[in-house]
This record gives sequence, structure tokens and C-alpha cells, in this order.
Amino acid sequence: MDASVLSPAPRASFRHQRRRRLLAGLSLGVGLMALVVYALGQGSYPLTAGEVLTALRAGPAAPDPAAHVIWSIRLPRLLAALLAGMSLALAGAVMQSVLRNPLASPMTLGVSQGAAFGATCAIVLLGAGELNRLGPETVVIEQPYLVVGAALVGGLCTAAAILLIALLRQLRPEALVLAGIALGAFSSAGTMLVQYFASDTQAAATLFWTFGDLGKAGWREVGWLALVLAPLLVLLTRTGWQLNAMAWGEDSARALGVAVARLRLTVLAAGAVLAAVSTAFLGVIGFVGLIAPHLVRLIIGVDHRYLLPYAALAGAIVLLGADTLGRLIIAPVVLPVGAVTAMLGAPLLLALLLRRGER
Amino acid sequence: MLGIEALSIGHGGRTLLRGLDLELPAGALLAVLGPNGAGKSTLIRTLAQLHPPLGGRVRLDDTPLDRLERVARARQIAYLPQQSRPVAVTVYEAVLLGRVPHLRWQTGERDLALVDDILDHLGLAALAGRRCTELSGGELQKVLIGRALAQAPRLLLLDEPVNHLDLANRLEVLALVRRTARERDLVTLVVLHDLNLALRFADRFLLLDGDGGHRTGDMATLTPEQVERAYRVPVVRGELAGHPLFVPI
Repeated sequence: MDASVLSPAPRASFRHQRRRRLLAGLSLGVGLMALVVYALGQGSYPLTAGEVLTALRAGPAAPDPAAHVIWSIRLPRLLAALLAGMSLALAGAVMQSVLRNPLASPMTLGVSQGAAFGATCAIVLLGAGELNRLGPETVVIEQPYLVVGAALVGGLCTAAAILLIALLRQLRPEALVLAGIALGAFSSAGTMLVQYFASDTQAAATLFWTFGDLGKAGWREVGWLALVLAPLLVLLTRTGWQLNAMAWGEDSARALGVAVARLRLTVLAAGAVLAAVSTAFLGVIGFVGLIAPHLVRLIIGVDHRYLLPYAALAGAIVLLGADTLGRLIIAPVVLPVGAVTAMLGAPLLLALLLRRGER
Repeated sequence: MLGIEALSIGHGGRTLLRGLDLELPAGALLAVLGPNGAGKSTLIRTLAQLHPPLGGRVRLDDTPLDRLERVARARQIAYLPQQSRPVAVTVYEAVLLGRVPHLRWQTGERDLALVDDILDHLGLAALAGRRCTELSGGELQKVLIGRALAQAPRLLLLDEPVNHLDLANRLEVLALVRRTARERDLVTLVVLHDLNLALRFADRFLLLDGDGGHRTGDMATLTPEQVERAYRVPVVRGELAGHPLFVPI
């Protein structure tokens, strides 16, 4: 008997797959919300989920101490974690797609280190900020525009170098990552050199950029991150179909009407901007951009229309989870989140490399 | 209808083909033949507008191809490169990808109906939910042809679509291409290495000789002398079980 008579129309399987993906997205969203409430309640002033919600509803001006803890201390840090996690994961996802390289990420390509180098130069050589021991926040960036601008230049230059290397020489994935490591090491060395010639206070200020720390984030930084992320999230999500076409190779994509060169350039630049801005404010946070897209691929596959927004969600979960872990594991000492993600991420990178080597 | 006038192609300062004039009606299947390096793939890529021609004009139903804007072109011309590494998406998604030049933002009911129809046409309906990485070579090639058909093109360009397939799959895929070309009134160009397969399925032939020259026409064009000149192998032409056949001697 003809199988097509018995089985439903082919699109039934497509519809089923779409439902499963929407469900997966919903689960990610619910998981993130739960983690948010949990993270807001944890710390030296513990709050229950109910108290957290009450404090959130009370608003920043409420006299209640819980409201103060939530609105002035925990919420900006938490939002910074969410926004930076989304930015880095999105950057990693598009870098992996456009370079067709599963090991690409802001950190492995050296973009984050390049941005940190730029920020350091702005602080030391251009005098954009210095250590201020008076406030609870130890670093005051006096000229955020200058620091962000310099970080952007550093990050974009590194991304441009990577793109050139990838285009001029068809490097194997491992080789491209080695090139990224070389560029990253160059930027790190540059950062150290600049620090060497800096004054004590300036050097202390730049030390933050060598490891990512969410403690630097206040409402202003959160605003900046959101301002950059929102338009780029929309822009990148809209390229989902084109990135799907790119996955089949450049010629196939061109034959489907995709402007390959322009797509690669805009998408990579957008990814570099996302990585550079979060690095400018929070320092180098590695591995979120590498891990989050891979986690999402395991769950929903390689369709970029879902992969990009879901990777952003997963990045938020990973970074907030890592930061919460860093705050609680040896409380009251708060570990910098960059160290936590590196601790968790390095084994994962090794696992990825080894698995590729087997094939 | 595809109209080619005085087309010259090549790359890297080398001319591969000079002064090609050719007219192909809708529904025709042209086999592009010739030795390695003669410019078969370059011709296909040139027609797909992925490679600039050295000179000449190409029209598709009275529209000059080089005037077509990127997306409009993708609605008229479907091109399958020589080899595609499969991506881990489902067969359905892979075919749906062919709708990209027609999409604004989301796939609609019409796109899905079209893909359903194509999968039925290709006999792939039962595989719709299967990942492309799990397919056999013949199945994958059919999926890629399905993607090309989803573009709803007027011109179908296939670069060596059966090269790494076994005998049964070669026959099946080429029969499918011929049937599709006729039923959907497509102008189809297929690069082939196997002369005998070409004789069996194509109705027009273009034989590149590797020195910039060419012969074009129906089956009578492919004389043993021409074939020998192009491939530098002496051949005889015979017939077996009703199929014309070239045999190297």
C-alpha cells in the first residue's frame, strides 16, 4: 500500500516540530524567570520569592529595606547578567554560523580581549577614568563614551582581522580558533603593557577588564547594554532564513538570493559590537558565547530562526546562573563571574575540541 | 525560453568557451558535456550569475539575466552546486528553504502547500521529518532538487547532480529531472560526465572541447569524431537494447 495515503501530509511533521520548538522556548523562558526570582532572593540579606515579588512591585522609592536591596543592588547586577549573557550568546551564535565554525565565540576569536585592550587604552592613555576608593563601586568611568568607543574599535578590529584571515585562507575550524587565540594573546599582552606604564590608580581600574565582573554594573551600564542589544537582537533574528541558507554553502545561499558578503559583514560586525559593548562595561566574560548556542542546538537543532533568540535566552540563563553560583559558593566572598564561566566553560571547550578530533 | 547569444566564459584570464549561441525552449533538457576543466561548471555558474561572463548576452523569456536584481533572479533561476554537505535540518525544512526568495517574513499556507506538493512529486513525503544528514546520497540529491523546485524557477541549473550516486539512483534522479522539466516547463541544464546517461535522458547537447570550441544540437551532433576530439579518446557509437551508446576503443 502507498505510504503517503496512510501518513498525514508532510507538513504535519513540520508543524509538530514547530510546536516542540515553541514549547522548548517557553520552557527556557519559564526557567529564566524562576532563576531570576531565585537570584534576586539570594545574598547576605535573604528574601523569599514572595518578598522579592512584593519588593519589585513596591518600586525603587519604597522605604522598605528589601526594596532598597532589590532595586539598588541586586536588580542592576541581575539585569546586567541577563543583557550581557544575551549579547555574548547572540554574538557567539552568529559568529559560529557566519564563519561556519563551531568553535567561534567572542572569546575564542579574541574579540573580547580586543575590546578589553581598547577600553584599557582609553582609561590609561586617554584618561577616561580611574579608581575611586570612596564609593561601593570601585571604578568610576568618567567618560563612558570614550571607553565604549575604544572598546568597539578594539573589538571590531579583531573581528575584521578574523574575517580577513577566514576569507583569505580557508582555515580549518581549529586553525581559525588558533588565529583567534593569537589575536587574543596579542591584545592581552597589549593590555598588560599599557597597565605597566599606568599610574597605580589607573592600573587598578584596568585590572577589572582582565576578568569579567558584574559588580561594576549600575543602572547606567544596564541602560547602555539594553540600548545596544535591542536593535541588534531584532536585526540578527531577522537574518534567520539567510543564515539557514548560508549553512548549505556560499553558492547555495547566493543562488537563493542571499547577499552573502554583505550578510557576513553585517552579522559579524553586529556580533563584534555586542561582544565589545558588554566587555567595555563588565570586562572579559568567556565561554558564555561559546556554550549557549551549542546548548540550544542540542535542544532544538540548527534552524537559525529559533537558534538566535533561544541562544540569547540560554546565554542569559548561563551567565545569571554562573553569577549566582559565584555569589553563593563561598559567600560572603563574591567571585568574579568571568572566573566562574571560565571554570565551567574550559572543560566544555576541551570536550568540543576532542569530539571534533575523533571524527 | 533561454536565449544565449555570443556568450564567452572563462576565469583567471583564460577563455574556456568562445561565442556560444544557443536557444532552449521551455521543457528542454540540455546535457553539458566535455572533459575535465573544459568549463562546464563555469558555464553553469555563469548562467546562475555567480560568475561574470567575458562577453555576450543571456535572456530568459525576454529578460536579460544580468538585469535581474538579486532576489528576482533567485525566483527565476535555481542552481545546484556540485556538492553540498548536508545540514542537520529536516527534509521538510531543506525544501522549504527554497521559498526564501519568495518570503517576506514568515512562511505562509501557500509555501507549505507547495512544499507538500513537491515532496509528493519527488516521492519524499515519507521522509519529511528525517534529518538530511541521515539520508542516502540519492535521497539527498532529490531533496536538493526539491529545494530548487520550491524556488518555482524558470531555469534549472544542475552541476553534476548524479556524480556520486549508484546506477539505480543515477537513473532515478535523471528520470525525475526529465519528468520535472517537462511537467513544469523548465529550461534545464545538466552537467554530466557519463555520455551514455546524457544520450538517454537529454534532448539537447552541448559538447565543450576544452579549447574554447563547442558543438551544440540534438543527438546527431554527438558524432564519434566530435566526442573523440573533445575527450581525446577514440570511440565508436552503437546501439544496445534500443539505447544509443558510445564505447571507447
